Amino acid sequence: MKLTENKIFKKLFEVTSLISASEKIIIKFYNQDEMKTPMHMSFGDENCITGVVESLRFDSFFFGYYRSHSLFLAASRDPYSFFAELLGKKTGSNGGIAGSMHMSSINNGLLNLSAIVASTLPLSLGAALANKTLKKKKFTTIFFGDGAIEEGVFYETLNMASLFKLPILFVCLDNDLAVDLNKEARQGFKSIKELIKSYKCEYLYSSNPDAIQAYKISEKAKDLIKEKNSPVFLHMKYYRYLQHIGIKNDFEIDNINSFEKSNYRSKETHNKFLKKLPWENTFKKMLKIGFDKKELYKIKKRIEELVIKSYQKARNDEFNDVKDLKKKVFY
Amino acid sequence: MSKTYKAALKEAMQEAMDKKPYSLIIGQGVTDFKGIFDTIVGFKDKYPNRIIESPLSEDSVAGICIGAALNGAYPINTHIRADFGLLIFNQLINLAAKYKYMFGGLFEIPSMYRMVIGRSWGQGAQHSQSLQSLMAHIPGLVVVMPADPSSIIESYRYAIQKHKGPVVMLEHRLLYELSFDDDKAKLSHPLFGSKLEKEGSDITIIATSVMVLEAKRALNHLEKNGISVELINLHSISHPDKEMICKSVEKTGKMLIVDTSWPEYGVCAEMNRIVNEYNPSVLKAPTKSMGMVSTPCPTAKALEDMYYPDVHDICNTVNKMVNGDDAVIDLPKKESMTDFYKHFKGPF
Amino acid sequence: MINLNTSETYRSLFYQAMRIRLVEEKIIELYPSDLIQSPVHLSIGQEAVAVGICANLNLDDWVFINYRGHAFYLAKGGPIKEFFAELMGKKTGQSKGKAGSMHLASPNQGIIGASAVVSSTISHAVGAALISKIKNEKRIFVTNFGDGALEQGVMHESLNFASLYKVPVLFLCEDNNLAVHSPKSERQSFSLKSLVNSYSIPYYEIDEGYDFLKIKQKSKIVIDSIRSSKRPVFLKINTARYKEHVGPGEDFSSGYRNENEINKWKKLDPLISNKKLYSEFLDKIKKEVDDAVKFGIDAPLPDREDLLSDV
Repeated sequence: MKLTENKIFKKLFEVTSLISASEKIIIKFYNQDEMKTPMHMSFGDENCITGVVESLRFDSFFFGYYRSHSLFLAASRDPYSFFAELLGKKTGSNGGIAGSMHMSSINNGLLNLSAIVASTLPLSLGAALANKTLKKKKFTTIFFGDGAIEEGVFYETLNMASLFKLPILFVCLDNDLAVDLNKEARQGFKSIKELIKSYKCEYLYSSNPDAIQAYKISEKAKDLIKEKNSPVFLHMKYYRYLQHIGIKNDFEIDNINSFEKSNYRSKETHNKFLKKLPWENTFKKMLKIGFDKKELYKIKKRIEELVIKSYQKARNDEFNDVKDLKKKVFY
Repeated sequence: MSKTYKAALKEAMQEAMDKKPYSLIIGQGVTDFKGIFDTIVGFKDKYPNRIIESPLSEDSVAGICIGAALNGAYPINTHIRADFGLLIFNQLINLAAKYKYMFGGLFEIPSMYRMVIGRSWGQGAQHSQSLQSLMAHIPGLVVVMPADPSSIIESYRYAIQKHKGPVVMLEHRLLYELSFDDDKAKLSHPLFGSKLEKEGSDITIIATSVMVLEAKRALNHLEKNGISVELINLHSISHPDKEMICKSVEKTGKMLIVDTSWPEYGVCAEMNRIVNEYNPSVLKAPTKSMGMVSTPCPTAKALEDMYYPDVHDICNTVNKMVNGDDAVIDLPKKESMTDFYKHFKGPF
Repeated sequence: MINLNTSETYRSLFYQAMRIRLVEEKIIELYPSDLIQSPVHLSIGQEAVAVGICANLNLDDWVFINYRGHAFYLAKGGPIKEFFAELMGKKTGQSKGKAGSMHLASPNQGIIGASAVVSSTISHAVGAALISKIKNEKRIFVTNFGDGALEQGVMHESLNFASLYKVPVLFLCEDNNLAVHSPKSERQSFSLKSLVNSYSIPYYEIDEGYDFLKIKQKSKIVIDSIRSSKRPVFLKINTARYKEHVGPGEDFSSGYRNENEINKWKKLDPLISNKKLYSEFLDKIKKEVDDAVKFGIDAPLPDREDLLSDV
């Protein structure tokens, strides 16, 4: 039993390392202007998503939103097709057509992302309905941010999931922000928990978990769905280190007219979270469980090398040609 | 004196807040430091209570605008991408556009909906749509695509101070940072008219929004090659100057439409309808339409560059239309507009 | 009962509710003649809600209604002659015949539009209230919708916004348990009270949707609180739709609902049980209705100019 568990924890650590290393590569090379796609960076949500995806990868489809990097890498574990997609190459996960906001990995269950806030919620509902009707054992997991809760379609989806008793896991990745607006300016409801409790939906909560904690609570959610035959809402809080979009953080000021200037976040809070980077939290937990420090660093290094190799390889791949422009518009 | 597109927008917004009682600006991001791409920065403090940040609830916010207009406000609803404007279609089309008529003239909904068209740099399928045709199709809506600062000042002023119904302003992201010199050409009407940018004799080009700029670049090149182009900036998509269009095509005998969106069922189609219903024999050659390739927009730059027509394509097409399929002239190199203007590096 | 029959308030409320009932019954009578060529969503059974609420509203308070709007239109003071002319599609109808039954409005009496798209005017009330607060007005805005609207996303967006910006809106839900033919149990899976409360909006419920006096009394407290606090409140009033969703007939034979449920309600309906007051007011109301119908019949048809105007 312990061996299997250790295998899982090791995998969690690997995936978190993969995401962390990949985000670092993007930050390093973005200004070279070869990855021409708006990026909503995942720096901050790695643990949450790694934990949930690893827990559910054989049990669930995944739907997400435009903050896609953790989700894609956790589902596919494939940095090469990841970078190829960001670089707009033919060999990308979606042939270079999708970019950062619309990546998918169908063979790994990552079905759908969208740039329109909350728009994949009803899709996940439909998938869950199909699963139930066709008596498939899989359920559906949908990831979205706290901003999506203000959209009316969230309530429509939650109502139907609750009414039809659908096996859906709603994973709300809550960083308190919608672009750069705090929740106090947007949300008139007292708390997400109170809203959810008005529906026939179970509610679970986790704040800034390491990957193992995220895994464990996801396992709990999985059991609840199977037991109660009703949707479950997993509320996960995390800290968004960078701006809503792009690789800068909110405390870098280039010049007065910079697009990226800001003063809406607390530097104090930022510094506090800089001392608790997600990867480091998971690393510390692994040590606590009993993994060897040297071995963990070895894994980290191996993954970093894999990531840089993937990036370099993808850079040299071919772009699309005009034949590809009109393909796949209709079925 | 030159002015940027976004400076003109800021001026128009300023004027709205100062001169129109109870004007409101409402939408996602209106109070943040980015100020809808610099067009309303600082307004939140200057006009407290009237710059209203909205939760992510486009449908109800559009309805809120209608309600506010009914109670004497002038709401300006902003959408940082035209694609999000699709979320307000129920309120915009089923209600705002029809409110006056449906109640036999009892109500009016003076209001403005600003939507920004995205383009380039990997915007992708959901951040690059240019939906003027969908909305111009609806009686009751006025849909305008201002292509330069003076058009902005004139049409926004008219919409806000004089017009008593809903107006959709489609602004183009690529135009924001660009500087324009004083305009000699004039709009035939701020909301119900077009602009004759240049007179010519060999061919009429009708262009919308940022394509007016690209057509101007083409025009300069073509002139050097002895082709005289008459360029019309359509400006009002829902209520273009039909007389200007028909008289022009009657003069030149040839028509090329260069639009920001897909040709099918769009501006290109409508221009053809207008001319044909006027007098099809004014055309001395088949017309041509240029716009986005008829697919959703791909993110990959290599594909995106093929997706939009550019100055090379326009010159090539005009040359063939005027001088025949076999005619050859020097053509400008194929270069994406965004590379040429070089300012837009993303991310948004 | 005898006491009530002498109470001015009760008599006035009864009169108004009966007036609406008779108008609706007149529409049923006229319908086969095709004088009215507009789908009608009748208010029969739900009159008391409009009458009880409007008794607490001033002329300049606004109501935003929906396609089942006859009761509110009449209770708020909308002119009855122009009402019939409108249903008959005449030039001198409320909206020149262009609106019909589903889009009744009368700005002079604060009836600000109705829409056939469920829940689509809820956000209008929020917007009007928002600017009202900025202008420092003293009136309130009522948005009236059915239980079907509760499932719509825009309902939640509007509650969220109203709560966030604290606007003087009365969210008034007329719950007849049906969306066309589907009962709530097939459509909703949430606790409305819990949901509304989670927006920090007070929630009230009135069960006796047939009792216009009780509605007036109970809703007065709610409406007064909105006036003084300028904050939103949610009020649900349970009621019963006697007729089919749209049209003049009944549909119990189709089997989707039990006639007994409605019969139980009818037993409590003062307009049916209080025969004394009913017969006292009958002639006067009948005359008013008949005159209005005649006005409508005599009114001219709209012409091409009307077709093209008001765009």
